[in-house]
Amino acid sequence: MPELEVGGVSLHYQRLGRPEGETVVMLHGMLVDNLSSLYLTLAPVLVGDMDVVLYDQRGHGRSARPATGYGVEQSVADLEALLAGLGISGPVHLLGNSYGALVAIETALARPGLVASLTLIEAHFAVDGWGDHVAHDLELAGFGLSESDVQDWLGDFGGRKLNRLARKVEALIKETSMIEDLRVARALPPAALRGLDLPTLALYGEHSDAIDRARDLEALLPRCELDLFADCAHSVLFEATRTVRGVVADWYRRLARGETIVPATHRVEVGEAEGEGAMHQEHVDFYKAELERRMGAAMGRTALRIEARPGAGRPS
Amino acid sequence: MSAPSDNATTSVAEIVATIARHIHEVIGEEGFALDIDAGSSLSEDVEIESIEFVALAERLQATYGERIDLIAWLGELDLDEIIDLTVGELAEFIDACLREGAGA
Repeated sequence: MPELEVGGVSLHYQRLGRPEGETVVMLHGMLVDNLSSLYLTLAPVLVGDMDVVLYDQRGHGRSARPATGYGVEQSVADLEALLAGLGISGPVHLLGNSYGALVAIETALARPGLVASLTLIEAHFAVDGWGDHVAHDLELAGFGLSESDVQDWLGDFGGRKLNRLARKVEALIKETSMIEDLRVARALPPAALRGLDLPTLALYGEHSDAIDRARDLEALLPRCELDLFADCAHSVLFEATRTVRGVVADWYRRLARGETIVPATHRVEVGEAEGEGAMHQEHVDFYKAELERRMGAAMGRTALRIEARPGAGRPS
Repeated sequence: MSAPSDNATTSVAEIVATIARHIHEVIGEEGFALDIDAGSSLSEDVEIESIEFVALAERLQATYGERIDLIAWLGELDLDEIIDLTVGELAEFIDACLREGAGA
C-alpha cells in the first residue's frame, strides 16, 4: 500500500491516471469518510487525462490515527507535506467534498501559488460559530454511538461493515483531540473569500444544510460557478453520482481548454434514479433531533446529580 | 507496475481464485472464514468496506498489470452497480481485458 510519512504520521495515498497530466488532488470528508468515496465516484472520470492524487486524511481510512492534529491548519499542513513528499510543486487543482472542500479553500488561502483551481462539493467553511457547531455534532455522534439501543442494533443488524465504521468513528471522537481541535477553528473573514481569485466550481444539493455557504461563495468569490443540484442534499456526490461526474469532467475539460470562468449560477437537473435528498435530510434531521433530546436529558441528569452531591456548587 | 504473471490462457475460474486470495489477504482474519466463489457479492456476502475495495483493486492492478484498467472501468458503472458487483463479474472484466490484450 502506498504511504508517505508526513510529520511523523503515515498517510495512505493513491496516485492514478496520467503522470504527465495536470495534477488534481482529491480531499474527502470528515469522520465517516475516506479516499474510497472519491476513488469510486470522481477519480474514474478524470484518470484518462489527469494525474489524480487521493489520500486518507489523518485518522481516516488506512492512514494512521494519531491522538492529536485534527485542526484545519494541520489538515492544510498535511496536504502541503504530502505534495512535497510526492515531488509535486504545483500548481495543482484541488477537489474536496464537505470538510475536504474546507481544507481546499484554506489551502488556497494559505498557499496562494500552490493551487490552480477549486472544485468544492458541499463546502462547509468556517463562519462565526462553525467550530462550536461541528464540535457539538461530533459530540452528538459520539453520544449516539454509546446509546445502548444503537449498540444493540449494530450488534444484531449492523453487519461487519457498519460495525467497523462505528468503531472507527468512535475512536476518532473519543481517542483523539478532533472535537477540541475543531472547536477552536478560526472563522474565515468574508474579505479572504473576496480575494480568492481562482476558477472555482461549487456544487451543492438544493436541500443541503450548507446552502447558506453556497450563497456566500456565490456572493464573494470573484470567479465562482455555482451548480445547485435539484432534489439533492448534503450527500449530492452519492445521491447524483452520474450527474456530478459529468459536471466535474466537463469542468476540467473547460479549464484545460483555457476557458475563462465568470460568475454564474445554474440549477442542475439530475437523473431519474438520482436525488431524493429532501427525504434523506428529513431522516437526518429526525434522528438528530432525537439524539439532541436524549443528550439534553442525559446532561440534565448529570447536572442534577452534581447539584445533589453534598458540597456541590460551593466555591472551593 | 509489476510484471504480469498470467498469460492469455488464464481462465475465469483461476481469476476468481486469485481475487478470492486477495480478498482474504485484504480483509485479514475475518476474511479467512469466508467461502468466496464467483457468485459472491462483494457487498452482501464479503461485506467488503469501500476502502478495502481500493486495496483489492490495487492488488489486482499489480497482479495483472497495465492490461487491465480497473479504475477507468469503475467510471462506466453507477455507484449501485459497483456496490452490487460479484467476484465473478470482476473476474469476467479482467478476463475480457486479458483476452483483448492477447489479441484473441
